[in-house]
Amino acid sequence: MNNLFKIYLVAVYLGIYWIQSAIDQKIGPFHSTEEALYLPSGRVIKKLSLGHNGLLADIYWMRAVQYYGGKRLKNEKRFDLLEPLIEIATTLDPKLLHAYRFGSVFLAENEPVGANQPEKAIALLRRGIEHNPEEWQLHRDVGFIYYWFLHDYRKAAEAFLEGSKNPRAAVWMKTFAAELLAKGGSRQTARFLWQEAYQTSENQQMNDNAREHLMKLAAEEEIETLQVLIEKVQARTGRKISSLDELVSLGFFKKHPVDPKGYGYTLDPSTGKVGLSPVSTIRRY
Amino acid sequence: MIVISIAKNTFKECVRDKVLYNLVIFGVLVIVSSLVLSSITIGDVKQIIVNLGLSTLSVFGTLIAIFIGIQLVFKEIDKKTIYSLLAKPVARHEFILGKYFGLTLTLLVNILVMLSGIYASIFYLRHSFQVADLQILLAGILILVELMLVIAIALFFSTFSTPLFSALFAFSLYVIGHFNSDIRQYGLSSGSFAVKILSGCLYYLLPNFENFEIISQTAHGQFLTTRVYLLSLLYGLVYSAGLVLLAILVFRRRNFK
Repeated sequence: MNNLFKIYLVAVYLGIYWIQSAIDQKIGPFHSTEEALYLPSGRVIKKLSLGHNGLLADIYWMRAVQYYGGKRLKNEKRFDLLEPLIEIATTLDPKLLHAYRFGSVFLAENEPVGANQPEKAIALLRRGIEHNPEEWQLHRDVGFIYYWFLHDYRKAAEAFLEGSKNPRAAVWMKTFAAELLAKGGSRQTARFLWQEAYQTSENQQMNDNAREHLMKLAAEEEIETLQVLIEKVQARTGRKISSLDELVSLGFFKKHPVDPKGYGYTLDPSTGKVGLSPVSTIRRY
Repeated sequence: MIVISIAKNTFKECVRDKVLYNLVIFGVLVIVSSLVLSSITIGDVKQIIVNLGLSTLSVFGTLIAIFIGIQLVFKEIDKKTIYSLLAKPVARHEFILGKYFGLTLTLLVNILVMLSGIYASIFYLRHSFQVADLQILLAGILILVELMLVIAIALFFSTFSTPLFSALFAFSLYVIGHFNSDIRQYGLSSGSFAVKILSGCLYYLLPNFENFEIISQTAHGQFLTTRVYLLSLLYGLVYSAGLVLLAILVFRRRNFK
């Protein structure tokens, strides 16, 4: 009798498995969980949390990270839920510093790396500053987004200057603000900012992101150098350079010049312009 | 002395209860799982451990306090053991106090087990402790006082109501207690004088569980000031004492003939 019940039990579970698989096949697995917020208001969730808002904030932030990571893995360009998820997390816990800092990067980065919403990233950071006035890094992040993504060097300088008023702020912020006003968006200032982000980030992903940007800056610089070199060689030899391999045969390089990720640079023979390889991952930024 | 004996007995009864074991094991598992969860997010792992650990401790403690608290008196009446108990030289207030402290002791042990889980997780993460980690212990003490209040509520209802209704009342009061400031705010923003008075009365009459909302601050290492912390502890203890007194008064009036 007992064995018969066990067989029934196994049969029931196999049946459930079959039915669920059939449903998933018809409508796609987990289709409804992806793009739903269920409760869109952070204030309402905070009230309903009965004092466990910190845990819920962690869960919503975790969901935001997973959402962002999932979209990136799939190379999708739409990040519709990212900003609402981060907003809920930070409403639940206004002291959730990493949600402001990393969330603003997710929002500000260009597609397909991020949501390409630098204004929303700044609004998020401004809310963070409101709740955490002692955190000077949030000012630095605002300045950074104005500088890199919006190319508004005056506002960037203002943000760095505002942050520098905090006695715990990094010493470079004040002088950098002045430099920014004088030089604007030079590669030198950009490299300094990314280098600083690379050295101070405590998170591996943010570290990787800063390294990628530094590689992009290095690649841009190398492309400019190659361009100047080609023009000089053409002027000296009087013949048109149609391939970078010609520079190798002329003895300028030992092998075909490559970008920091190891992909060979290309030379468009019709325009004479040096560029990144179409397969180079640096192109994404 | 009688109170201690009943408390010990209640504690033993609770420990023997399989549901209690399940809750403790589940709670510890959730705390340990915080280490796993922390690997799929970005940010301060210790903060996640503290949030998840203390919330688990509080939620499961509340469930234990309500679901065992409502049975403390009812079980004795249902099994008719109350008759033999009260036939002995046991005063009714001693019975209620013994039951109350017995369940409090059970929850104290639960909290200690779960706090050990949280500290073990932090040690696993950092291989050391910091002075600031003591805040978790202080938060645990405040949660214990909060749970003592929940037990007092459940015990009070269980002296005159069935377990189902006692659970319902206790849980409702627990939820309402987290919306106390909203009741007050609603009254203050109302144009009606009567509503203002009523909301003011409700604000002081209902247990204010917002006084014990400490988890998020602990996770950020931003603790309450000593004065607010001590006042919150005092609030919980005084309110619990009042409810236990009420429970004794109701229980003394009950006729078991």
